[in-house]
Amino acid sequence: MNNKKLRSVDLLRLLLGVIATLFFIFPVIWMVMTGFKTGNQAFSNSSSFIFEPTLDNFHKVFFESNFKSALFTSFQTVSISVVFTILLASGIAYPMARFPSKRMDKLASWIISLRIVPPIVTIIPLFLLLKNVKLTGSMWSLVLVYTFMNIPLAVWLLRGFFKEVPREIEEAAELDGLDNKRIFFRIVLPISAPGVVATALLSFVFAWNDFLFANILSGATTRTATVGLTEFVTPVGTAWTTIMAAGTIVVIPVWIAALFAQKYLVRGLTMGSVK
Amino acid sequence: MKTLQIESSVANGNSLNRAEGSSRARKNLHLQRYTSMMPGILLLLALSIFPSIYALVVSFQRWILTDPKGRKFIGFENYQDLLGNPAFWHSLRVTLTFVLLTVVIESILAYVLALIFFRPMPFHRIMRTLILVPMLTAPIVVGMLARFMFDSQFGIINTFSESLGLGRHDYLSGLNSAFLTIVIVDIWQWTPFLFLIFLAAMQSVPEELIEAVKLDGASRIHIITHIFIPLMKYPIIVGITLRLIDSFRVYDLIYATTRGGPINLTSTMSWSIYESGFKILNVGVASAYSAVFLVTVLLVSGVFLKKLSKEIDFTR
Repeated sequence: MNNKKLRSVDLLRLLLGVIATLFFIFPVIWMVMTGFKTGNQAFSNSSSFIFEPTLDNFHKVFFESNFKSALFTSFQTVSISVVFTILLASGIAYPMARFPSKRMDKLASWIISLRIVPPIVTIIPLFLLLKNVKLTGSMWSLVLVYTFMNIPLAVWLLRGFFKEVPREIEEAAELDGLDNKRIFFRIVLPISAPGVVATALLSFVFAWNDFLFANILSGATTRTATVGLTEFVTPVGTAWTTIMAAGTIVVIPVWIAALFAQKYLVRGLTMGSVK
Repeated sequence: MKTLQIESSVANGNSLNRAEGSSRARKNLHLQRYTSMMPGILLLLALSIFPSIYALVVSFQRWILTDPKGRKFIGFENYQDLLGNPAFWHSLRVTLTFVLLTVVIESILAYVLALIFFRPMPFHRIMRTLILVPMLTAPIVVGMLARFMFDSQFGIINTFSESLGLGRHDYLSGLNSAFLTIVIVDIWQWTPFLFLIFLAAMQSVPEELIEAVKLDGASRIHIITHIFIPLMKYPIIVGITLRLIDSFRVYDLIYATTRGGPINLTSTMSWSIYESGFKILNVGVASAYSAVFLVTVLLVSGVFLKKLSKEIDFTR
């Protein structure tokens, strides 16, 4: 009796789980499917699930628009900013992990408090200042802003990873006569490599997904992929199938990055506070 | 370099007695430890403190980018204009309603989902991974996708609602539906975020504890209220605080779908600041608005942040 009741609970859970999964994944599947449809297939019968796929939209995205260069700009800008983020953030995080003190804790809370400020609040003065030094429209203004945006997250994550390196190893290296710099690069960094890579991947995701900063700071020649996506909407009309194809392309690098960083996803999204 | 290691080994509580060397040299070494922090901290300072002060100054100026007369100090006029404008209070209400609705519904849904997925079942892993996909999709892409799916003519949502006998609607431009549609899209995208955190937290509750309480005859509800919720307090607060902070930011979604409309029914504070700063180009008012917005965010999330700072364990 009890056993049977338990099983029906499990069945209900499975049913609810499947429904939830469909709810969350269906729109994304719809986007990918639409990317492979012709305009007629997409609009004549809006609920067609079976159709003959076409690569026309992807062809358009890559060869008949500026989207390819927008993708390139995104890759370039975001990658450079990730390198800076990791360098600057480990510079902060390593002493924090190694020489903890009250003052360090205060610094850490100040750094995380920067995460509270909404980007729209930051962007107005930043835009005016960058305009003064003629950096708006340059790729470097975005590199700067993304690095700034990701350092708090990276510091908190890296601090956690560096703390997990056993103290004894560092102390042994010290006795062997290695200075702090060498201890960091030769011992701490290799040991915490998976964590550092995960931090880099998450920083990549956040910068890659940004739209607000890119929309305001990027110029005609430095459109990022997220901005380029919105440019398929023209006064003449909206090429929905092309947009869905482009959207799919924008999203794929993030999915791949997340797949690699899956183990650290919870930690990364909560700035290391939940493991 | 040699003395540097000595200094740190002393600090590490190493019992070797080497506290030699002049205090000045020691101070230098002490500083050397922290030199690697300088570039990063300087960047953070340069891009936070400096712009904040600048924005504060601008908020007391009449400054419209297209106005050739340039800038002029006008005291609190921008703030007076803002607070005297009904549109501001409307935006405040829209924003607070949006934040409250999304965060509350997302928390509840995520908690229920986490309970469903807490114990293994067939296809457990693959389903869990698929649920995370919305959260990993760029918000601007989600916005475009929403606009496509909710379209009044060829959107698939209308196909669904028609076949369910609910008729066709212009969801994103209807006076009654636009705001709720945005809320639903936000819930779709961000429930997975809280789900992931809650699930991880639930799974860290020791199995033996649950078994022990079960043997004592505790009911399911009892286990949830007396074991899960107290033990998950910290992750729950972290998750909700982060969602709260992020929910205030909503911009991409509105840019892609309603642009604050119809009329101004989805005009959140983020969106209004964007419009006054980058469309009307009145950076004076936009700066004053930003200051008020920041205070609002701090006030609302402050309750949680306080709790968080009490619970945060720096030794982790």
